Amino acid sequence: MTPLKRILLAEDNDRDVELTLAALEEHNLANEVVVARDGAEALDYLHKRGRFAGHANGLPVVVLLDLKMPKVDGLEVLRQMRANPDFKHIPVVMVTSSREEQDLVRSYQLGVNAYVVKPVDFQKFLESVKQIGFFWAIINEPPPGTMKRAG
Amino acid sequence: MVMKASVENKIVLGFVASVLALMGVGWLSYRTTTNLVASEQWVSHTHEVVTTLESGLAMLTDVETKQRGYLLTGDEQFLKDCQASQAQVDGWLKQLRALTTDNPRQQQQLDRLEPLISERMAVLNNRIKLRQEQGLQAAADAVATREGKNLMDEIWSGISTMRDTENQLLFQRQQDAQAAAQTSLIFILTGSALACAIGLAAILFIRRDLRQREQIDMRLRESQALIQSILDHVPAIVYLKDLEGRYLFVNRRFEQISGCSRDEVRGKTVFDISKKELAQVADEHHRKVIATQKPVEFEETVLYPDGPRPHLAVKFPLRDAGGKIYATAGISTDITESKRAREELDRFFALSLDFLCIASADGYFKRVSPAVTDILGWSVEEFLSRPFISFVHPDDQAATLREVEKQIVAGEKVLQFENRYRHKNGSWRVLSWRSIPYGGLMYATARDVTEQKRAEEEIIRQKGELEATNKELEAFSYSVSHDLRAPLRHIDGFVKLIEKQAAEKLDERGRRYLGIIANSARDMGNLIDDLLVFSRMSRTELHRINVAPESLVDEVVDSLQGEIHGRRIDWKLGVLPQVEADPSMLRQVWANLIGNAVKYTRPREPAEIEIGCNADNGEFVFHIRDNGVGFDMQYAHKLFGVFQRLHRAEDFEGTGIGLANVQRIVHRHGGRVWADGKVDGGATFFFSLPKTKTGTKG
Repeated sequence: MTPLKRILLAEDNDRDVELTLAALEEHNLANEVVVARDGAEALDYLHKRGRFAGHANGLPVVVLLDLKMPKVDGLEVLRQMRANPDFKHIPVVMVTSSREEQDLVRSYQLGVNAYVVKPVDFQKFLESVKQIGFFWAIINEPPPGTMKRAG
Repeated sequence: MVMKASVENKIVLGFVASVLALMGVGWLSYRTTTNLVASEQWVSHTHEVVTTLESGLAMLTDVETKQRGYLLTGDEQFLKDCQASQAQVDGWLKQLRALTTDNPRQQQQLDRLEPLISERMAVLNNRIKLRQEQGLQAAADAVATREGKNLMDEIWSGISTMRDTENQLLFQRQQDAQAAAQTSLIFILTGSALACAIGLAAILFIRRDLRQREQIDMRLRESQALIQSILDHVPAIVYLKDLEGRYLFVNRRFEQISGCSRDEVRGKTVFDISKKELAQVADEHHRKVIATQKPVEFEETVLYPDGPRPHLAVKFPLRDAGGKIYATAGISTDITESKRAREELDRFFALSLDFLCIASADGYFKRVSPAVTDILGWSVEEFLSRPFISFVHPDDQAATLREVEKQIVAGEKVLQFENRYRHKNGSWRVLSWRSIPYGGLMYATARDVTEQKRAEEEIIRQKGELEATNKELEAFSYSVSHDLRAPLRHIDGFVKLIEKQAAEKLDERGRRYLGIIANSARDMGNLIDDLLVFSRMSRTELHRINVAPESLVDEVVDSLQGEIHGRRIDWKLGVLPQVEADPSMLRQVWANLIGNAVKYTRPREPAEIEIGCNADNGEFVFHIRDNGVGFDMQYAHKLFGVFQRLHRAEDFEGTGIGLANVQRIVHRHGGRVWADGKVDGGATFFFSLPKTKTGTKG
């Protein structure tokens, strides 16, 4: 049985995707992640269109957004989600390299649920991603309409 | 005046009435007296008439008696006497007629009496003749006829009638005279009483009038004293001159300045007390006032004991009640001070770098300072000869007129207004105006800010460029932050994954190499982070609030627990005052300084770190002293430079940016940083912050 994809990761960098998945593996969450390679894909997934047309997964319990992506950046994805009544309650975590205050401020203004700076140190990165996955996908009670953990 | 005239009229009227009454009384008295005298005369006249009448009877009796004597005796002597008496009777009749000529009635009676008497005389003479011719008997017979006796009775009765008439007349006259006297008496008494009353009233009037006059005089004297007192305390020179220029009055100021008392001056002319040339000028004005009958105003020089002083004088004519000029008055005010003040102002006016001007609502400048020539090239005359709006740049004219209207109509000040004026050479100069309206005029200063404007524009342009550069830099930093760290993270990440999943396939050397790769990546990450912080500290805006540095220090020390753990450090924390600063930046300062102190005291057991502050000359000087490895003072200047390090990374890790950050932040707060140290002798870092916010912005 293919596990339900409950985590949407929007990240344009292959290596980051791989490292993030490696980190999520620690909690056996890697299989529940669907990866969008830019903001446009992330929105496609939510709207079940384009590459993701007709996918059977429900709404994710959490969306991990990189800030800087081609086509549509993370802030824009966040903005569109918050403007859409179907997606506005889905928790969004910014996972980014940027420590810039303006990004932080802008993200919170748009209603982000958490903002995590990717540490250079892999050990710390590992910890961060594990904690994000653990908290949002396991601990947190997601809003109605999203998928609960199987079993 | 009206009242006075009426009082005078009344008095005159009273006198006239009283005199008329007295005249009437006099006239009445005179007439009464005359009447009385006349009446007396009449009485005596009547007596005379009566006496004459009675003496006539005696005469007639006497004639009869003598005639009878003759008749009886024939004695010739009787005859002679009889004849003499008859002659007397004739005289008596004449006398009687003369006496009663004024009375026609008596004359009539006399007319009847005279023939009777003549007849009687004739009868008597007949008897005498009979006696002479026919003797005694014939005469006796004639007497016996009683003819003579009847005549005589008629005569008697005629005389008696006349006497009664006379007496009656007398009585009538006496009564008339008495009645007239009584009437006169009443008139005299009434007239006298009236005259007395009028006289009394006149006296009362006069007395009241005199009293009023006295009061008026008193008030006049009081008001004169008041005027004099006022004039004596006026700081101006005041004097009155008669038409010939002789002083009538001078005030105290005049006395003080001329050195002559008013009594000495009175009657003298200006020529007697002043210099001839000054006196001539004064005299001319005096004559002018008299000739024109109008006030004149002029500036004059007055000789003070310490020298001449300029005065502003006004001379004016004084007129009597009839409007005729009888004197001139002069008031002369010392204008030395105001003249000096004006001259001073004029000097500044001429000296000003900005051009000063007075503009009128008619659109022309009334006065302009010479600076206009320096600024706009036009001469003062040229500038005044054209409406000011014609000098203004066409695009600025509407705004200029609005400002003018604001002042003229609304009376508002204009504190800042700029427009362009045409220079004589055809270029435009930007003028900055400041103007206030007063009395329908605008008083303005204009500063040539053309160069300043140009400089400002240049600064704005440069600022724009700088902002653009900053934007680029920001974008660059952003990229660095995001993109440059990503590969490092990947290096580290995959190294760790190798270590985790394939460590057993590597030998010792391979594992060491992997460690070096990971460390290098981490170092570069730190370097990038520090650089980003440094860049951010320069770019982000300061948000100053009141900050308690003690709490910042506590936070920093707490955050260093990882490094402090297991070490012995003696902290000496002094009292730190509140400052106005950006809290996150100030925190960065303490983080760097305390972090350094902790780091460089690592070899010490125990380490000593002291933090304190001294207030000094409007600034707070904070310090942090440690007993660490210190530094060589000859390299002190390198301490605060970017990437400058005095220790090897093997001994003490670091990027060489921390102190550069400290310096930049403190400078941005308007403070200074410096350090004191000795190799192996510890180090002290100082930084100052101003007590009030004076730091540079941006």
